[in-house]
Amino acid sequence: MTKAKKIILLISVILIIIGTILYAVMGFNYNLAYGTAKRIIVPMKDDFVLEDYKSIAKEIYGENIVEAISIFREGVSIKVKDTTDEQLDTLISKVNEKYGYEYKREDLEVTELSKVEVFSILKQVFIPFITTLLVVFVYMMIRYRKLNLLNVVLNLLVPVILAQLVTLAIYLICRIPVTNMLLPVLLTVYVISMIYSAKQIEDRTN
Amino acid sequence: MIQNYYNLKYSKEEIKLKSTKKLKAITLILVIILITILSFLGVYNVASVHGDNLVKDYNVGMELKNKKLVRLKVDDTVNEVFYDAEGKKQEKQNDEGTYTSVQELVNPQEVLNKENYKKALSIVEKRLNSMEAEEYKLRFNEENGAIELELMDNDLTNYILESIRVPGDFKIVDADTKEVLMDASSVKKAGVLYSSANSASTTVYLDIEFNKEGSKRLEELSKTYIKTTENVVNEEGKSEDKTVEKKITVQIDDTSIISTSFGEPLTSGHLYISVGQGTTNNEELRNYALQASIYAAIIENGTVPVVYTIEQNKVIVSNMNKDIIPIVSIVVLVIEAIVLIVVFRVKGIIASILQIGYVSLLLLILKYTNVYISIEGLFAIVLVGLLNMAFIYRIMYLIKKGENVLKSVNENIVKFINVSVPVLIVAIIFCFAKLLEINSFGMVIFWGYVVSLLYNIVFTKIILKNVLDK
Repeated sequence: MTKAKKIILLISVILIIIGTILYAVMGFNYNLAYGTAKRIIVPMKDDFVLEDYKSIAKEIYGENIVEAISIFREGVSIKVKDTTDEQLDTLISKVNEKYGYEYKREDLEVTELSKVEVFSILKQVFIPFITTLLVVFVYMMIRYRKLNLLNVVLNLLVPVILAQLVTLAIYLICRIPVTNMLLPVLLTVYVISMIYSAKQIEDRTN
Repeated sequence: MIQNYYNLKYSKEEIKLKSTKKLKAITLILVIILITILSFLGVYNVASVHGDNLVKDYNVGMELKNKKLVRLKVDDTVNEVFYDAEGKKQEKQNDEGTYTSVQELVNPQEVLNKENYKKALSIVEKRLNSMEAEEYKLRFNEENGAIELELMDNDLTNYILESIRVPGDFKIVDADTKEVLMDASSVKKAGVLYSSANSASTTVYLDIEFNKEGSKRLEELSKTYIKTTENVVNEEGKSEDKTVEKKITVQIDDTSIISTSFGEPLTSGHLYISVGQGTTNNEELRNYALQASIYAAIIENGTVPVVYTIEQNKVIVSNMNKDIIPIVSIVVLVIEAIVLIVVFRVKGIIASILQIGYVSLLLLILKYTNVYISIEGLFAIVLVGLLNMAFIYRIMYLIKKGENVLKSVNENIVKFINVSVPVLIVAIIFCFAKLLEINSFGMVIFWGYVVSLLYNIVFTKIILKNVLDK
């Protein structure tokens, strides 16, 4: 193992340890997309401009996710971290003012949202990851039979598994919010680490 | 004279060769431009009122289209239940006899606990998987048991919801006495089967496979619940043969699926129940198959211990749409083109054209191979684009160093194939995943590699050979 590889391995292990501690202490950082939130549904009678709602929601709540309900634009879903009665009243008065409605508090539907657990995302990729890793491992053992088992394990399994753990550790250490980007990031890292491993083993053979 | 003649002939051949090379390269570059136009701009039917694009559109996942938002709430309804004098529950009060009316919660207090909520979530998830829900996200509140489900909105969504909406208490009961003969604990698995007794029509069957004990019990029932002929004395005092049929009822949550007797003892441990009638109509067949799938998903995954009600059922239009695919591709292509032109100057322009052609062809193929593109698929498009760029970059680098064009391309293709096999294995296995996120990623990687290999053999090799080879 080269000195550079040893340093990378050491840094990876440190990152994973810090990540594990942070997970135990603080857990992952969730933002509005996947974290606990409140969804406010405002029914609409006429067509509307989504941007108007985005600016109203931004003014009242700051961070928000505004989406249209149904393709016939029957209403608006505003996802916010939390809402108070005062904020709801302000929202109603701004909507009434903008669209000339006479909405009251009971016209709005407010529901509590729980978070999407990171493990429910990881669970989805666990079986495909393990299956592919095993099949590729068997392929590597046959293709590079001149190399010993330990060599293939060190050059294939270790980098691929480490890359996944380091990605999760970076999410935890940098407090990157868990969103719908987590799974694509993990999949991309998986393929890149697989290409890296394959190239390393190929170069070693040559 | 002779020497001049040969010199002249040689230069003519050389000119001819050069012009052929130019023509080949120009033709291929024109093909690339055509592919790029088809892929990014499309071809519009001017005769159509809406000016429809004749090029197929992308199939996209729920994050780039619409998603169904369903909120399942623990049912807190109080029902009025009637009991007769013997303490038996009656469906409704009638004038005969004495009845006691009791206010009963749909979910008694003792079932409302975290353990049951978690079990309910697990069963809902299993049913979603059994129904092959392609893309979904679950939010779960373990304090009140509420489950919020986001799933892809398509023609199967309502069938999927049908399978998770009910508790799914599966029972086989005596049709007359309502005595429970078997329940979900005897079931091993359930599925859907098709049978074409004659070539004209197909019948859909719900196939319930029982475990060892269940199979024994089913065999016993199949010997007991049969049609028999008894000799009875009629009203006129004459003796006659009467057929007596002892029936079982297969039911889910008090809803009967079938009431029947057995024609012969069942020893296989399978109970086949026909769903609908034999049909030749594809639409009918599909509906029967979906109905059977709902039954199978409910039966094989057990009973939800808590009764849920649908509190919210709305379609949310995603803020991102399919336009993000060409937008992201163009942004990445611009960055790649800048890098290639900065590093390789004029030759970098040719490399950029090749890279644009590759991405355009890949996007066009993804449209026509019906690959569903989710956010994961979008990442995969960027990834295979970058890998192809790395391939072209390496060739250009070798050419810059003075290597032979053909040799550089061929050597790199061989290297590319050697390193690609593990990723292709991953991509192919991912292609078989039920979840759209994984499937989309795998499909794009697979097509990305296939297109890259063919494209570089046909386009990159020929264009570079004809433009850069001296």
